[in-house]
Amino acid sequence: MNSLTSLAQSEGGFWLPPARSTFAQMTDDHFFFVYWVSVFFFLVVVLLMIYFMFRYSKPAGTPAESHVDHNLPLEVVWTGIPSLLVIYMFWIGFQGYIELSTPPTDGYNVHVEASRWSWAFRYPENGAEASGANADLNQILSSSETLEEKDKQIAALFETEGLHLPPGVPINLTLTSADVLHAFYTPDFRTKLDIVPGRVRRIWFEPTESGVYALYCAEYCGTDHSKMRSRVVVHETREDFDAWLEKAGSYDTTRPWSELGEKVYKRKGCISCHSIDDKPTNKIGPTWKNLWGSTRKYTENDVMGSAVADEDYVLESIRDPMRKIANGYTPQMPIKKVTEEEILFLFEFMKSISTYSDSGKSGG
Amino acid sequence: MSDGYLSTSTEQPGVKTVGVNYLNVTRTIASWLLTLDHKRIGLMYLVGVLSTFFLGGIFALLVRTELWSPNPILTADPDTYNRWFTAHGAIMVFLVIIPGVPAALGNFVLPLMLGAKDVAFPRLNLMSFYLWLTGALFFIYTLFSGGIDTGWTFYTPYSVKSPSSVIPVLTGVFILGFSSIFTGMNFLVTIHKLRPPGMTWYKMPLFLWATYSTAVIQVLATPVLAITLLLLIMERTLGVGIFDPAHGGDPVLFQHFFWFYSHPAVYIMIVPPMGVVSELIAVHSHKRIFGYKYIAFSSVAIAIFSFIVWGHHMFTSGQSEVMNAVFSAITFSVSIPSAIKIFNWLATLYKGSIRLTTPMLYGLSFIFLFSIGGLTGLFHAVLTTSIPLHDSYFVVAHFHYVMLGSGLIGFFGGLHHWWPKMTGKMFSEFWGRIACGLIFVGFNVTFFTQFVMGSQGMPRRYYTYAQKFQIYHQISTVGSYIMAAGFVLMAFYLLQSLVGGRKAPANPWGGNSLEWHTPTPPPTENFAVTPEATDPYDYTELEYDPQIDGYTSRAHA
Ligand code: HEC
Ligand SMILES: [Cu+2]
Ligand SMILES: [Cu+2]
Repeated sequence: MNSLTSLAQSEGGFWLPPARSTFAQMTDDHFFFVYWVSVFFFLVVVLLMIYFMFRYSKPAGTPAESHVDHNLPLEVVWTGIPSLLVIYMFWIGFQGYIELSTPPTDGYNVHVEASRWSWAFRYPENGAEASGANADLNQILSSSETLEEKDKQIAALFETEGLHLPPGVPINLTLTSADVLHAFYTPDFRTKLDIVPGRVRRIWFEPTESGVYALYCAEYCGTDHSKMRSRVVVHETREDFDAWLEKAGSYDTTRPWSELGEKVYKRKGCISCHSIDDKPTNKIGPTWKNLWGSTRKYTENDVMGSAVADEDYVLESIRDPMRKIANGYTPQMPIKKVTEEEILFLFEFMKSISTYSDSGKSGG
Repeated sequence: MSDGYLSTSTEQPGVKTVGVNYLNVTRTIASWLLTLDHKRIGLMYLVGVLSTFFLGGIFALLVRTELWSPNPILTADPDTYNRWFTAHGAIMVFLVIIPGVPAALGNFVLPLMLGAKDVAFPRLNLMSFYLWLTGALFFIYTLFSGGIDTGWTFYTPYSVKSPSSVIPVLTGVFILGFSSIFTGMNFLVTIHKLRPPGMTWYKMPLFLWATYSTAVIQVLATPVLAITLLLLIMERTLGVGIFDPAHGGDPVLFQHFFWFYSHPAVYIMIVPPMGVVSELIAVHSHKRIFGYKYIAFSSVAIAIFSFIVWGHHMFTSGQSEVMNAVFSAITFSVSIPSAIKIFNWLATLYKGSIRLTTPMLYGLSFIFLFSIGGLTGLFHAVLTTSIPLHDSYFVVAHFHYVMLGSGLIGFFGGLHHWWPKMTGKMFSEFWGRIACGLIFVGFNVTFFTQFVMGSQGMPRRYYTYAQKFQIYHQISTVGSYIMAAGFVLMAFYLLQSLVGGRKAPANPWGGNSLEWHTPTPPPTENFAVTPEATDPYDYTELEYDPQIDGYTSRAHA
């Protein structure tokens, strides 16, 4: 696996990264058609301009050589030729666009959920719910390590995380957003689509080669927009992919639940808004360090209240985050799809990073 | 073509007191702040626009410096960076470029070109300025109250949720909108009603055609922005569900409303500078403008088409395929009038008598940069290529070529062209050309690089980025410093010209539109007697006088 920061080094040209989907080649052909037309007209305009600029540069007071001020045939030519060219450009773009907005019926389906500032990928095909958030990526990117060290860590991370895909089939994605606008952007596949909260979007593409490709959020979504990156991993073989899906889809329940809870914390993107240390940070939600068992002050329907952070309180915070708003914070927490099992893991994880007395619990 | 009014092209006859002009006729501060003289209002706008340009420029440099490396340089907090780029965009668009040519230069030049004493509604004109100032104060307030981080486009639902000072900025933009509407109305009426005897529509200088077309857009499109922002304010304060799906609203609706104004607004920013360039190219080539009617009607055509192409900002928003196709088709139609203008300017140069003065260098830079800005628009109009390029640095580069490389370069060309008329002083041609060169080179280094990095896949509005983009970012940052040096130099020699500049002749470049037929600087009432229309592009009656390094009319000499 190559590294995130030096993706797509092969075959890319000066202008475009390598073309790695079935319609990337078509898009690139259109790009270069427009490009050469542009280069031609640019050169005509600029070379003539420079020539005139020097050829007709005269000392002050010299009258102009001629005062012709119109020429109908000329106007017709320089209106007509560009018009024909742009009509042609429209036509090729239009035809290509029809092709890429007609999804095939036999594609492999994955659901993508975007939320600030992570991606989650779900695999409905075999019922598994494997997620590949890029939450850890945030931490790596904002650490003060050298770029090489970051690269290594990122590569290791994407052994398990990211949008993993089987090779050789068209991919159908459905995309939803939990909060604000995001956009799914993979330069190597030449695809992009805005993800609008409250709607389900669809996009399809067919990768032509196995490999690891960059995935960016291309629609501005606030603080860590620039860290809302992940990668697309197209496996070498279908068997490879199935093995990955098997592993990623399940929690290894032989491990302690607190450890699994930490996984949930990262996979479900809680990590992008909640820290787990007590250093003052600029994350937008409260830290989880010493949260469990402490007394929380909140506002509910404009009325102040307080409660001990226990199972009920945390459960409600996750299922209905807009109800009780912790003092000092704004209602920005999205509803995340977290299973009952995962919530149990989270409880243990929160306990493991808090010092609290059980008496607090009964008082709640 | 002979006679009375031409005699005013040299110094003073007909003006009561020699040496009295609009600048020195009264000297109190109140006489400036409460002035109804369009020239003084124009100058106040100019000071305002240039100051906010300086402010917006500082934010641009902060952004570019931060992007020197994907690791933190100036700030480790992405929110701070997000506030910088939002401040840069909002200031440049709403405070600088939109009012730049129409309100600052237009206010000064338009009545002079018409041989009129003032605009049709001088009080409304003063009010426009104070609305601009109030809007600007809201912006400044926002900067001190923590800034805003939504991007200048205020896309919902983020702008509904963002914890930053969104409402003051929206209010500021709302007020600025009215400033723009009033200016537009004023100019429409002025051009209709105050043309001098003999000036038919086809004898108007092309700058007036451009301001007229722009005024139509300002009056028709700006109210849509105003109501959109008001709805957004209501949504934020009262929780009314309009654009935020969490309240039952539709975020894509906001984009439709926003671009219904903001696409035409692109032409509010570019058509007036095109008008300026038509003047620059003709005057400094001392040759009749080529294809007058084609240039005039291309301005009108652009104004009309600009209303029906807004959807090209939303090709990836998920609007229907049919809409994408229709908007793509109409978008191409805007490219034709733009191309027509460029070819006609080129034909004007042909067999002219060109002087490579500072304003002319800006005019030629405009042709160069606008060609790139326009042609790269094609990549965004073709549906297939527009998809990967949308929201990447390619589009950032494209609109900077159009808005800065063309819009502001045209503005600065006009500023140099009319500077002698405004201030009565000549600036240093030597430093003027050097600054123009620095800006031209710096601009291309900054933004051409961004085309490459964008098509390679660098998304816009990123605080940190993949390492493979670093080299492009660094080149781009160096370019922005070169450009900044050019602008600082310009500030120096222009300010220096105010104190130490040579006295400007009435007609330093050899123009023949009416503003060159009144003394420099003009008296408060502009013309001693209401002049008759000239043929603005007939230069045969003018003669160069090396003594004053300016032009006088043959009839007079
Ligand atoms: C987009 C940012 C964001 C994400 C992602 C997020 N939260 Fe929150 N969370 C907040 C904010 C802001 C608050 C404080 C306001 C409130 O009480 O709703 C909060 C509050 C909470 C609280 C209550 C804390 C207290 O001090 O009262 C809990 C528990 C919680 N979140 C759990 C989670 C879990 C579990 C996840 C992951 C599945 C998660 N959050 C993901 C932003 C986020
Ligand atoms: Cu984003
Ligand atoms: Cu547009």
